Amino acid sequence: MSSQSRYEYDENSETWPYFVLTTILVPLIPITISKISNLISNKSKKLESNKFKSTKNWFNPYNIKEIKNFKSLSERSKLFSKQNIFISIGWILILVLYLKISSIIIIPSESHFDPWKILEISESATEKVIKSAYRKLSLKYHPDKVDTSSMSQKDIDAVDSAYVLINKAYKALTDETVRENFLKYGNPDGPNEIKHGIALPKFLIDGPTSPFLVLIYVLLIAVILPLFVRSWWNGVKSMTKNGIHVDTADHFMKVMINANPMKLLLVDDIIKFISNSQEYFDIDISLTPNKVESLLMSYINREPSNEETLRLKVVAITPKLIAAFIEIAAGFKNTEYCLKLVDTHRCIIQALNIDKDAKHNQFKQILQLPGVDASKVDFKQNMITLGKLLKKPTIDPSKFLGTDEKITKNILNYAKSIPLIEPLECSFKVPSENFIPPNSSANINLKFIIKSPLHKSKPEIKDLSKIVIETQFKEEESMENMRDPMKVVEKQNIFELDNLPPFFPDEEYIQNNCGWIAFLVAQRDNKIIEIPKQIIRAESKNLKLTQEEFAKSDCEVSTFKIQLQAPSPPNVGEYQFRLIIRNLVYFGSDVDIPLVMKVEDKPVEIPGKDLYEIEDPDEDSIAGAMATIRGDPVKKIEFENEYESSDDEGDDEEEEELWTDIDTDTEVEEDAVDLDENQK
Amino acid sequence: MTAVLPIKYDPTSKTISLEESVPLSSTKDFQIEVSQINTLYSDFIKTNSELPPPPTKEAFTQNLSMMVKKMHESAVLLMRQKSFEEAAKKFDIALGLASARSKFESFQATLPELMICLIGRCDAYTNAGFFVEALEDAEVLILLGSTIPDNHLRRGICKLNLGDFVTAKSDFERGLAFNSKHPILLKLYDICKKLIDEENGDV
Repeated sequence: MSSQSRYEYDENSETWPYFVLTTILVPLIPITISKISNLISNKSKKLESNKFKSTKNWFNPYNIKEIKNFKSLSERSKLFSKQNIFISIGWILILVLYLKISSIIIIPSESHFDPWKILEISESATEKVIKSAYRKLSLKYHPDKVDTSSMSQKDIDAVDSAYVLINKAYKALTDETVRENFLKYGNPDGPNEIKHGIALPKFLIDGPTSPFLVLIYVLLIAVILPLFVRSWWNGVKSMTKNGIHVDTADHFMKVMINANPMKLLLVDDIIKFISNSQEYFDIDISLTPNKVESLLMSYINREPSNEETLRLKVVAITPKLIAAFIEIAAGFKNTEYCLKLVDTHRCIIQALNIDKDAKHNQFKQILQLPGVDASKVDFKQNMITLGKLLKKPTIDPSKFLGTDEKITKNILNYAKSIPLIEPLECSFKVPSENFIPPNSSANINLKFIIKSPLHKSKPEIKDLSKIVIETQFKEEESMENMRDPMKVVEKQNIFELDNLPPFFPDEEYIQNNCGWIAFLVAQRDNKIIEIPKQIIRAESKNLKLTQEEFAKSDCEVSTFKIQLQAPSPPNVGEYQFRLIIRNLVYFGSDVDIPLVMKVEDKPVEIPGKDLYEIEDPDEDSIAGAMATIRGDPVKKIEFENEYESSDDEGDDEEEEELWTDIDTDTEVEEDAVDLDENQK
Repeated sequence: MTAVLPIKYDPTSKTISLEESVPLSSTKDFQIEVSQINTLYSDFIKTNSELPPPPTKEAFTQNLSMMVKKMHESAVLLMRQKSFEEAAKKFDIALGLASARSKFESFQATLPELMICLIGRCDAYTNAGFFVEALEDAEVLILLGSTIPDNHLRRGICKLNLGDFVTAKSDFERGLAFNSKHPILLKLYDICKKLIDEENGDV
């Protein structure tokens, strides 16, 4: 049997569609599944937030037309994303291939061998039936019995091969070895010749198109592949892991290195730093740092621009850059810069310049509300917080804001939906310990409630419902929670805003970044000591509660944790920290929590020491030696008794025996005995 | 690659300066550095030796210390008489004297002098009601001595009076972190919490 292999092209065009089908399906199916699951989750999210209120019924910013354009443009570009195009083209191809494949009639090759069919019997036929069928057929096709005189050569050959086949079939069913071959390889002759095929249709290889194929191969290997690798590598090289351009990151680093602690930092300064980002240049080549700065400044001052579309593009990517800058500034441990960056982030989202003048800074919580016009607000009133405006206004809010009744009502409703954070308990924890040992891996455990500015202070912990206390306030001390303390946090819902600020064009960004950011700072030098972490999961139901329900407490408690990267200090003592929590979207939803880490070194108590009533180990045993090292009690061997007995007169021999037991050197022993005898 | 800085040396005044062709707006930070070099160099010329003297205690100009001390004392006296504005001016002069010291003298000895004057000036400003000026001094004091609770108290008082209750609260908390029994801090912390509640319309 020849094992020589030869290549065969796909002559009948029956293999290549399968090949192409597989190649397309391998990436297409996972992508489609992820896309569909995304769509489903988005849909359920949208259904859930059907209550989502837009301010557009009662307030529209001056640039609403451009914002709408921007949104529809980004929707459209989302629809025509590379992924979507790939999926749709992919499935169309699959459909075409399916039609193609279904039209192929597979011609069974000659090697296909079915002895029962040849003998025209059923597969369950007995040996007797097989034999009789064979006889009948062999009589019919035997070359000697068939009259070949009137036949053409082709017909004669056909008869010959039919006879051979009948013989083979018979043997396959009766002869041991042939039968084995048939069962193993599906062929009575043993293993088939191995065929290697190339799944390309014949018309591509033979004929006039073949140079094209060669060209495609050459292009693919020599040009497209290197280009692809290069562009991928450049992409990797030019972006940091925060998703910003390396040049931008480099610029932010330089800003931080040259940070002057004596200089008062303003939003204007931050915008100046941000304006130098490479990303703006990638949007439009005309965007020089000075131009970006002036666009951003005019945007936060709410001044109309004649390049509104371009300005919105610039504005839309700015928060992402600020977020990346925050991480870099936190790497430099600079609290002042980080907090000002968060402020700038909010300024961009709310289109509000808090450092424009003292009034803007003082009244920022009021001025961030949509529909509030700084030129109409009565700044003489002492109402600078959302709480005061909603709970105890000094004058009628519509007079204070200078708006009509209906709009005022909407503004107040909007203000009510702004989430505030109220800490209930915050401490350092080491899983499965009730104190902080030195050099341990601790985490910060913050229990908080989300509340509306309408709510007064916070509910007493004892007023919380029993279920909330047991499941949300206290944590189940299960093995699972101890192993992964973050699990409790991950189980919570992602926090979502009810109302979106109307000025910022990229709604999706706000929905994904509407939480808080937490910085852990050492009180000693006011430096950031942990990577800042976002609070993205929290129970938002409390926002809907009335004051009575809130005080009586139908509140839900949320959890936030930071796993500390550094171990707790090696020395016992108290260490002072501050957890700074800032909202990324709204002003007035900030908290500073002082925190003390009390590092203690308590001796480890071994529970159930006498549980099995194991005696203390003997002093001279290995266990005893180990116990002595540990400082555990050991059972003293009472040598005294033995020596006491040796105190008696004439017991030299006994003493000798005691020592000879220990001494293993026989020669010395013998010498000693000799000496002894000599003495005697 | 070597870049030539756009500076020139004037042998009569013995200072370096930026060349006029350079636009002023783009070299703000650089100008600070130039003036720092000039100060150091003129101090060096004054020492009249090949090397600046080592910053030992012996090389510390006692005369200047005496002057600072006297100025400080008279300022304290004014504080007692409750003429805070005058006192602030005196503290300012004392501070000017203390910082006029040759830059090659011991920094370790200069710093406490500076801090004492700064503390006086900050308190004088606070009492006179110049909270913005006092805040600036308090910020510097915190940079110089961040573990001294009184510095946080100073900053907190300024913030409180400037209407920034939330920051003031955080300042008092920071001060209490270093001395949890500081009576004034505790008292102001309570006041601050009440003010925040009032501001939020809770009371």
